[in-house]
Amino acid sequence: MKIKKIFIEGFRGFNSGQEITINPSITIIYGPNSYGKTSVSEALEWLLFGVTSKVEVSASGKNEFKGTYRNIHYPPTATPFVEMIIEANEEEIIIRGELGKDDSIKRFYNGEFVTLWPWETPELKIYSPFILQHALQDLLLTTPSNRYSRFSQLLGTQLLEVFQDAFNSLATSYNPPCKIQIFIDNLKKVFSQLDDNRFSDFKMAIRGLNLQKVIEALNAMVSTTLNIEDVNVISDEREINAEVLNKLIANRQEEISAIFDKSIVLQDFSEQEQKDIEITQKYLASFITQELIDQYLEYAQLKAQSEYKKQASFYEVGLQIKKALPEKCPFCGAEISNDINTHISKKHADIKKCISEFKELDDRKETFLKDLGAFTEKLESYYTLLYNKTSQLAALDNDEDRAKVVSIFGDIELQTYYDLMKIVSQVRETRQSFIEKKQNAKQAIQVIEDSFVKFHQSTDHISALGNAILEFLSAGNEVFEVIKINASTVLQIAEKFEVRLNALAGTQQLALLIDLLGRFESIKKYIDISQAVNSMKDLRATVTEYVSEKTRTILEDQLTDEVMHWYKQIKTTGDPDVHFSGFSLGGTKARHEISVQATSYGQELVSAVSSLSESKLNALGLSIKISNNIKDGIPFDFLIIDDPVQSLDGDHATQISMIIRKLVEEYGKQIILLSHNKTWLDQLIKGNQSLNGIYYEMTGFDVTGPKLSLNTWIPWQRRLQDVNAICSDTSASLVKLQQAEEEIRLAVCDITSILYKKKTGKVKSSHDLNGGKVRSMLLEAGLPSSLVDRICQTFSTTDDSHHSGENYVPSRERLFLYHSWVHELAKYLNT
Amino acid sequence: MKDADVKLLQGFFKEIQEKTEYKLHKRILEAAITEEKDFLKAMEQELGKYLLEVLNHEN
Repeated sequence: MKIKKIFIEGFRGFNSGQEITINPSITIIYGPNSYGKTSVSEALEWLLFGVTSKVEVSASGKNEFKGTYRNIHYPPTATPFVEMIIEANEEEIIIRGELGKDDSIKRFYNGEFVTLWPWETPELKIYSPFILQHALQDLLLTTPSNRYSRFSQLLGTQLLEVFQDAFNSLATSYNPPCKIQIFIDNLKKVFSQLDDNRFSDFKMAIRGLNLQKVIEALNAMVSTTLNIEDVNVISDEREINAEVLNKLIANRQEEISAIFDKSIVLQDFSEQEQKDIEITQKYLASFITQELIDQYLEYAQLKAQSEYKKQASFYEVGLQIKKALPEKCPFCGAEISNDINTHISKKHADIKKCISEFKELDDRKETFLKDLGAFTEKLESYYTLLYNKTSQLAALDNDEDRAKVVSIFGDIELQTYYDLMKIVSQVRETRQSFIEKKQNAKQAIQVIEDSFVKFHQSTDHISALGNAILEFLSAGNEVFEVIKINASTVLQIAEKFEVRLNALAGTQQLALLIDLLGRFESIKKYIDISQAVNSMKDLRATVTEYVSEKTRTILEDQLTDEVMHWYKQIKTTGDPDVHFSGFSLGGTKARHEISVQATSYGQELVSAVSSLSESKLNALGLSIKISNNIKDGIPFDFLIIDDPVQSLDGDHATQISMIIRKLVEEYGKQIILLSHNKTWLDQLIKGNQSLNGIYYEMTGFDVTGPKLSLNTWIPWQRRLQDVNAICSDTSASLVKLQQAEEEIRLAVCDITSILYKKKTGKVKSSHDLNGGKVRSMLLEAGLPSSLVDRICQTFSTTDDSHHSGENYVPSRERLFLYHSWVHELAKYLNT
Repeated sequence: MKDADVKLLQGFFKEIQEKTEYKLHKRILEAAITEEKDFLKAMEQELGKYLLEVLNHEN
């Protein structure tokens, strides 16, 4: 893409909006210091990248530059913007960046909001088309490690550093989740207790995170302990052999039972147990409802039901007897009147009806008793859980065991003993109350069950059950709380107790071995987890290698060759032979350094940067940037160069002029050149007059911004003088003659543009004219067609892009002819 | 971080992903590739997730 126009408003030095037309080949903006030249390059840099390199590389951080993109005099309610008309793939596109309050950019592509420019790629920054003085100096005059970081900016490898740092952090500063940390710490605590030599192989295997060696060490220890060769407590499938483990446990138990045969245990509730307890408590507490009470009291009718049943069976017998002689008494044979018969039938129907109603009551009673049975089961399971949890500790509540515990703890742990016994006492008391309340509840249930046998339902029974349940639950809750509060303390006491018990029984190592085997699954996980965390170092090594290789390739191979190509063009024959000879990547893999190598008359210099003169360093910086901007596939066909000859003498500045010409003519680059060096710019224009660029001069600066005036690249009179001189020089080469012919066309374009404005009042730039355009403009300006035809002949040897045909041969005679026609055309400027 | 930088970083992650054979590393790098803001945090979280999976795994 190339730039056609720039419009800047409210950005940096530009307060009022200014439009700057850009020439397809070269545009020069001259201005003394502080007239706003850099504002132009910064506006373009910001538009293309959303940030200027000055802000991006600033060591003082972005805060110092916050808000500095906005021109301080620009109206506060207006939005500063930079706009550019670009030409890409023969299409004109308007790109616009609006400045946000946080210095951000809001991009518009042909009026449509976009988050990125369509050409933006990950590598784009590497090929930034801005050659800025401050960046060149910063790049070289610094320490090798800082240089690396600054080259990173230039080469786009700074992201590699960010990338590498992330993996360094992952390998060295990673904090695992809390749960993992606790798990690791707990196991490390266990491992730290293994101070006996017998565990040295095991500990070494743990340190090496080698599971196979861990297994071998454990198996060997078990073999030694059981005095059986090659016994494997851990199988090839890495599973514990329960039989061997139980044998070890039995061995230890046998040893310590002689001293103490009970356990100090008050096991806390698992999450599942806690959930179950909660559900059961709710169920038991809500069992007795008004509905249940009403239902229960209905069963008082069971007694009446029983009476009816008796009557029914009596009537049934009577009816059977009566069946033989329906109209006579079965006992005396006397005749029975119709009324009596009707009465008997009615009575019988009534009883049948009542019995059918009571049948439903029987069914409900069965359901009730079933529910009561389920309730009893729940109550029992709740009771059993709490009862069992406290059994072992409660069993210590006798004089004999107390005495044994005291003797095992010894004098130094007497306080621990008192603590334990305090808990035992609490457990025993709450447990005892719980047992009693459970018995009460069971009795109340029994009374209700008996009431069905005795046909005696009463509200007293159900009230008694309700009270018994509440007291039972309350007592259960106390047991629950005692366990919850004391479980961890008892565990700690038990651990101390176990240590002393093992010491007395001589089973310390055996206990540790059993403990390790019991934790085997955890040990496997510990190794897996530690290996995973450690593997981050391997990942870091892979990344470090990758970053080094990538950087080395970019720097030593690619960059050195390309930079050298341009550096050689800047150096002059009169230069002392003290020159840049290449880049090398040094330092460590984790901390890169870039050395600039140089030689002095064939000898390698120790400190290249300090040995090279400022001008050579400047040349080197320029070479680096140029080489990086002429690569294929870069979307930018333009280069914005800010004061490239600041520290260069005349000869070197001339070399830079030649390089600029080369960039335009050989590499097709569009150059926007900003400089305060007017002498050099004049020389550059003189030496490149056929480029026919645009030359702006910053003539002043005030609150509205810089004042830009458009100057003629080369006056047409000067071009014609040059043509005349070349034609008169009999030794002028064919190339010179060809250049002279192009100068004639440029003079024609300039004169046409001036004439057109003079005669029609309309403005048309002389920069994009061709034969056809010149013809129509001159005819519109009222010039005679015979002259217009002759003038347009001057374009006959080139195409619209000013390229000569294959058979083109320069001719001195033709040039003289053209020269006279142009003079004839110029006379109309005075009419 | 700019979108262009994110894309470039994602390219680096992908190249490392191809270089490593370790499944955990591939998994961590995948997390970094999918995350656009804080890729270090994404990698740390994925590693933490993996460690918890190991811890909670039954046998």
